[in-house]
Amino acid sequence: MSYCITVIAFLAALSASETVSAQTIHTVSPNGPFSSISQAIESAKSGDTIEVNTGIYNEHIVIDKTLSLIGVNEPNIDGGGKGTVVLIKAAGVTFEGFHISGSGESLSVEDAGIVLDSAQNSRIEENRLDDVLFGIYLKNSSGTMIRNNIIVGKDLPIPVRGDGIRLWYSSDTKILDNTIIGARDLVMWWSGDTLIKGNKVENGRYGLHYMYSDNNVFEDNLFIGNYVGGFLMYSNNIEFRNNVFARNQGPATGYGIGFKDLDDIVAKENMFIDNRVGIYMDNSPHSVDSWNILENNVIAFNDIGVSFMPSIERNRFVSNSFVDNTEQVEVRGGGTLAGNNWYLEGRGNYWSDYVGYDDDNDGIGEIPYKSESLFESMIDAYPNLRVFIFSPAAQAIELASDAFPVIKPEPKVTDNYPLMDFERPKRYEKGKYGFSARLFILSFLMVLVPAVSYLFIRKRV
Amino acid sequence: MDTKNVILIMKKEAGESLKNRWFILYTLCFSALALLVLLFSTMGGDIAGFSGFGRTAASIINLVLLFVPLIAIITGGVSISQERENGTLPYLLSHPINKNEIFVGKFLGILIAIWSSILLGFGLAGLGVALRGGQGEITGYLLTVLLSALLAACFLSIGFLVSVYSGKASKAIGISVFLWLLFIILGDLGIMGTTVAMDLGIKQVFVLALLNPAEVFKIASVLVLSPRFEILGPVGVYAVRTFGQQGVFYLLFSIMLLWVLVPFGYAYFVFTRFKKEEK
Repeated sequence: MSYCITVIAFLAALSASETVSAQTIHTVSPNGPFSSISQAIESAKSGDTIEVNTGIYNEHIVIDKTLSLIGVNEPNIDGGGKGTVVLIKAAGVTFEGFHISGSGESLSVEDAGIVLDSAQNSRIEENRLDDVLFGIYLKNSSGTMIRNNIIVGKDLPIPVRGDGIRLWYSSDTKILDNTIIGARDLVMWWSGDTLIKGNKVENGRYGLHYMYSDNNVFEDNLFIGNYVGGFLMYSNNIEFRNNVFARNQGPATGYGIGFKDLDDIVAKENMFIDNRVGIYMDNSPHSVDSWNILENNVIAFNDIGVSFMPSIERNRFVSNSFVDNTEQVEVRGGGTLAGNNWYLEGRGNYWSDYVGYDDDNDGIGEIPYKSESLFESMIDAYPNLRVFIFSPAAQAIELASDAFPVIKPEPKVTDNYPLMDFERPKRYEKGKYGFSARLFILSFLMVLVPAVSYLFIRKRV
Repeated sequence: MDTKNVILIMKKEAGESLKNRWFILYTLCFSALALLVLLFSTMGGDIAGFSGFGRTAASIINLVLLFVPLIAIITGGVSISQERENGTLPYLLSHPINKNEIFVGKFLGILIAIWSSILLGFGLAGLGVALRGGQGEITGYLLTVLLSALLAACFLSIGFLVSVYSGKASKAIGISVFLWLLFIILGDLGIMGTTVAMDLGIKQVFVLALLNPAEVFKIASVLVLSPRFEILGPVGVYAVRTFGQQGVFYLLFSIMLLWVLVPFGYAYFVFTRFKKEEK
C-alpha cells in the first residue's frame, strides 16, 4: 500500500514539475523573430520548443540541447552540398516535419542528412530527405524512434551512395513506416531489440544489411528492386512477419533474403517473389541446439526458391508454398538436405511441381514430394550447365532418369505430407488482366499474313 | 538470274507446300499447342502483380525447338531430292530456266510457307490470349516470333544442303531426322557429358553452346523473355559481362544468320556448279 502511494506521489510530482517548467516556444521564420534555426537553438534552453515556419534555410544545424524542433509546412534546411546538414548531440530531441536536402558527398566522413550522435530517446518523424548521401545515421542513440520519414538518396552509382538509415550501437530503436528510395543500404550494426515495421526500401543495394544485432522484429516491410532484399549475419533470435521481398535481382547476388550464421530465426507469412534466389541459407543455424522456423511463407517465381550451402541442418520448413520457382530448392555443390524438416506432424509444404493425388480429401497428397531431378542435381554440381536449362536435352535427361531409376539422384528434399492447395495471401488478390488491344491487333496481323499469302498463291498458280 | 523465273518457282513451291496435307496437319498441331500453352500459362495468374518466367516461356521455347526445326529441315531435305527422284528436276531444267533460279525460288517458296505457318501458330495463340485477357509483354513476344522465323531459316538451309547431296527423298528424310536429333538433343547431351567428364570452364561451355543454332536460339529467347540473364547461370553472366546485354543479343543473332547463309551458300554453290543433273 505504502509503495503504491509513493508511486502515485512520484507521478504527481513529475507531472507538476512538467507544468511548472512551462516550455518556451521560439519561432523561426525568414522574417523573424529568428531568421536562422541555429540562432534559435543558441538562445533556447533545454526543454524548449522551436517552431520553424516554411521557408528555405541555408545552414548546417547542431542541436546540443534537449529541444523539440517542429517544422510547420515543411521548411527546407539545405546544406548546400557540404557536410552533414543536421547533427543532433543531445538526448530526448524531437525533430519533426522538415525537408532536409543538400548534404556533402564524402563517404569517408559520412556526410548525412541527419546524424544522431549519443542522442538517446530522440524522435525523428515526418521528415523528407533528398539529395543526401546518408539519410538518417544513428550512433550510440538507443531508444530512438524513426517514423514516417521519406529518404531519397543522391543520384550516384550504387558503390558511392550512402545508407538510407544506419544504426550503429543503437538498440531499442523503432523504425516505422519509412520509405527509402535509391540509397545504398538500411544497415544495422550492434543494434538489438529493435522493431522495424511498415518500411519500404526500394532500388538500393541491400534492402537490409545487418550484423551482430539480436532479438529484432521485422513486420510488414517491403523490400523491392534492390540488389539484395536483406542480408543478415551473426545474430540470434530474429523474427520476420508479413514482409515482402520482391524483385531483388542482383547482378550476381539477387537474394530475396540471405542468412549467414543466424540462429533462432522465425519467419512467418512472408513473400519472396521474383528474386534471383528467394531465400539463401549459409551456415544457418550456426549453433547445434538452434532451429530456424519458416512457416506459411510464399516463395514464388524465383530462379531458385531456396538455395542452401552444403550440409546445412535444423531448418524447419512447414506450410510454405513453393510456386513456380525455376528450381525449387538448390544445394550448392550438390547433395541433399536431409537434416532439415520438410514436414511436421503430418503437414508439409505446397510444391507447384508436385504430381501426386489426394485420395481422402484431407488436403495432403498421398505420395511424398521428392525433389530428385537429375538435371537439377547436375546443375547444382556443375553450375556451368545451367546454360542448357529449358532445352529439350534437359528434358531428355529427366525422361531418361524417370525410365531408369538407377541413374536417379538421391532426393534433395523429401516431403511426406505435401499440401495440395496453395493458399494465396489474403491481402494480395490474383491480378486481373483486361483485353489487350495491342496484342490482339498484332496477332491479327500475324494471322493475316499466311491467309493473304495463301490466297495470293492459290490465285496465280 | 531472272527474278520473274525465281518468283514463278517460289509461288509454285509455296503453293505446293501450303496444300500439302502433312504441312497443314503440322501447322494445325503447332497452332493448337501454342494456343494451349499460352492459355494455360495465363490461367495461373500472378501473385501481388508478379508473375514468373518459368513454365510459360520454357514451354514456348521447347515447343518451337521441337517443331520448327523438324518441319524446316525435312521440307528442305525433300525439296530437291524428291524432284530428282521423280525425274521432274531434269524436266524442269529442260525449260529455259537456270539451276540457280530454281534453287533460290524453291528456298524462298518453302521459307514463305514455313513462316506463314509459324505466324499462324503464334498469331492464333496471341488472339486467344488477347481475348481472354493477357499480360502484354509485346516486345518479348515479337522477338520470340522473329527468332523462331530465323531458326526455321537456319534449318531450312541445312535441309537444302542435305537435299542437294541426296538422290532419293527417303535418304534425305533419314539424314534430316538424324541431323534434327543431333542438333536438338544429342549435341547438347554431348556437351553436357563433356562438361561433366572434363570439367570444362565457362568459356569452353559458352563457345560449345554457340556452335549449335538451336542452342543459340534458346539462349537468345531466354534473354529476350527473361529480364535477367542470371537464369542461365555463370555462363550467362560471363556472356553478358563480356559482350553486354545488347552485344550478346547481336552476337547470337549473327550466329543464327551465319547458320542461314553458310549452308545455303554452300548448297547453292554445289547445286549450281558441281552437281550434273541429267537432262
